[in-house]
Amino acid sequence: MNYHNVYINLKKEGKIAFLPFTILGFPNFETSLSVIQTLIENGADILELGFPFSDPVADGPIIQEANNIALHNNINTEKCLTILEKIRKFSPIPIGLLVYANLVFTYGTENFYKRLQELKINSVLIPDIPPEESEEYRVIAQKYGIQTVFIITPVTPKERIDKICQMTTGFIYLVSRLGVTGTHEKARIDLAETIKTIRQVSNLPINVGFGISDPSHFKNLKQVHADGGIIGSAIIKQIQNSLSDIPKMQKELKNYLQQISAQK
Amino acid sequence: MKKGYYGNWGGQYISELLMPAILELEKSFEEIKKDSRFLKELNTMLQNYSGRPTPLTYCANMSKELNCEIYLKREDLNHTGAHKINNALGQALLARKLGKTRIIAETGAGQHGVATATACARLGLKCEIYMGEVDCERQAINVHRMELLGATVHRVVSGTRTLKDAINEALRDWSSSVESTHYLLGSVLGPHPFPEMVTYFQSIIGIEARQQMLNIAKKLPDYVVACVGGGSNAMGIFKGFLDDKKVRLIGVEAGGKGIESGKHASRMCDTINSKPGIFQGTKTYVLQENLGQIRNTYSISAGLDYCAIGPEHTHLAETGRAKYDYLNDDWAVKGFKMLSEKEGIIPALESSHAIGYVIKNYKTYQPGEIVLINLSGRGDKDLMSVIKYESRNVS
Repeated sequence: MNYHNVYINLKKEGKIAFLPFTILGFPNFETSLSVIQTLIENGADILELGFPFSDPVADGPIIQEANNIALHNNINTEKCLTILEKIRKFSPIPIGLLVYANLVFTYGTENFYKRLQELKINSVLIPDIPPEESEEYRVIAQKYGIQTVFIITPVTPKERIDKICQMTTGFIYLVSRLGVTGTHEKARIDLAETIKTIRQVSNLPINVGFGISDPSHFKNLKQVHADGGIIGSAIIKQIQNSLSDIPKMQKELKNYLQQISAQK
Repeated sequence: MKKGYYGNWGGQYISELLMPAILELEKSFEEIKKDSRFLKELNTMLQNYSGRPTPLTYCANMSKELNCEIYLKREDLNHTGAHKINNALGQALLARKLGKTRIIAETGAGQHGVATATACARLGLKCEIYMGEVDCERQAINVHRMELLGATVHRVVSGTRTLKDAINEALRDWSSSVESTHYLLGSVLGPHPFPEMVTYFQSIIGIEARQQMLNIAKKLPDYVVACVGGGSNAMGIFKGFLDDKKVRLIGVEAGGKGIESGKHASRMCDTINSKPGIFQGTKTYVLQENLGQIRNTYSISAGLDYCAIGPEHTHLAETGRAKYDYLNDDWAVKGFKMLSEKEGIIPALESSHAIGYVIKNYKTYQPGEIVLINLSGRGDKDLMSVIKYESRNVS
C-alpha cells in the first residue's frame, strides 16, 4: 500500500496517521519481529523502522540503548533486511525506514535501494544527509521507486522549507522541538505556524515526531492539522521496561498502542 | 569542486537541526577572513596572550645521534601547552561575533578542552566540555584544569567512552542548544566549514615555521613530520609547505598495539578495517566493520585515539602530496623518553608519535637532510600514562 491511500482513508474517518517507531532487531531478531506484529495489529498506519547504528547521533539515551542492545545481539544491515522480508510475508503495511548515512553508503547506495525496492519499502529518511548532500541519494531513490523523507524543524527558515519540500516525495518529518529523540521535553507549541508555512508550498503529508509520547499529544496534533504522529522513544521504553517478561511486555505494549489508536 | 569538498572528501553530513547554524557559521567564517579588525584582535591575542610566534628549536643532541638535522616547531610553548589554543581563540572570537553566549566542545586528551575553557574564561563565555570517561581517567589533570578555568566537564559514558563518543554528545547538546551555543570543534573534522576553518586557524603554525626555517637554516626542510589524530596540528604545519613540492609531508597515526592486533587508530594504513565512510559530518576514511558499524580504536595517546581522519588528509593521501604511516605505542614511548633525555623537552604522547617515527626511521634520512617535527604539545599531562605503560611492560 502507498502513503497516499493511507492518508485518504484516514481522512475519510476524520483520523490522522499513527507511525510507531522501533529499532529493527531490538531487543533481538525474534522479539523484534513479534513486537512489529503487535504494532501492526494494534493501530499502526505506517511503520517507521530504524537500522541500529553504533553512533546514532540524532537519538537520545532511550533509542541509543535500543541500538546498542540490537547490535550486541549481532544485528546488522543484512539481518535488518531479513526482518523486513519476514514482515512482508504477513503484512503489506507501508514502511518508512530511518538509516544513518554510513550504513547506506557502506552497503553501496545503489544496492541498498535496489534491495528496498524488492522488499516494497515506501520511503527512507537518512538523518545525517541534509538537502545539500542529498542529490545522488534522491536520484537513486527515484530510480528504484523509493520515496524520500526530509526533516523540517522549528528553526528551519522559510526559503529552506520550500527547498526541502521540493526534494521530498514521501512525507515531511516535522521535528516538534530542538534536540534529540526522547520523551523529556514536550513538543513546542508553535507547531501550527510551521505547519501553515509548509502547507503554503506543499501538499505533502506532515508527520510530527520528537516529544510525542502519550494519547493526548495526538489530540494536539489533530488540532494543528498535522497528518500523523511518530512515537519512538515511548514505545521503546515500553519494550525495555519488561524485557525479562516478553508476554507481559506484549500485553502492556498492546494496551499502550490501543490508547494511542483511540485518540488518533 | 563542490562546496566543502577536498576532491571526493568532506561535505556537510549533519542533521537538519544543525544546518541553519552550520550555514550561518559558513557565512561568518567567509566574512572574518576579510575582516581586518577581527584578524587584528585575533593576532593580538595570539601574541600577547598565547605567546606566539612559537620558537623553532634546533635539536643538536638528537641530530648528532640520528645523523640528520632535526628541528622542532614548538607548539608546546603556547599558553595551555599545545597548538589547540590557536583554533580555540579563533573560534571563540567568531562565536562572540555571532552573538553566542555559550560554548561547547569535545576533548580527547583534554588539550582542546583546556584551550577552549581558557579562551572562554578570557572572553567571558560560558563553557561546557564533553570528555569520554576513559579519557577523563587517563588525563585526570586536564579535567581539573578545565574545572579550575570555570568550565563544566561532562563525563561521557555512552559508546566507547572516548573521543568519538564525546563528539556524539557534543553534537546532541548542540542539536538542542543551537540558538545560543557555538560548538567549538577542535580538529579538522566534522561538517564544512569546520575542517577548512580549523585548518585556517592552525595554518599559522606552518606559516611561521616556513619563515623560521628560512631565517635559521637558510633553507626549507626536506621532511615535515606531524602526528595525526583528527589531524589539526598536521594540517596546520602542512599548510605552510603544501606549495613547496620538494618538501615531503609525513603524517604519523597511532599504531597502538600494532595494525595486525586490531587495537590501533590508523585510518590510512589498515587496508582491511579502514574504508571510505560518512561519519560525524564528513566523508572520509573511517575504521569500521564490514557493514558500516564504527570500530573501537586504541592508542596510548588519547588525542590520537579516533576512528576517522580529517577529509583533507584523505585527499592529500590520495593525491600523494602527503604520506601517512603509523607508529606503535612502544616507539611513541621511546620518542617521549629520548626527547626528554636528549633535549630537555617532555613531549605530549601525541607528538611523541612524530618524534618516535623519526627515531625509528632515521636511517632513511641522508646526513644534512632537515627533518622538521611539529611538537604539537607538552607532555606533563602524560607522565602517569607513561609510568603505567612502563610498569605494565616490565613484568
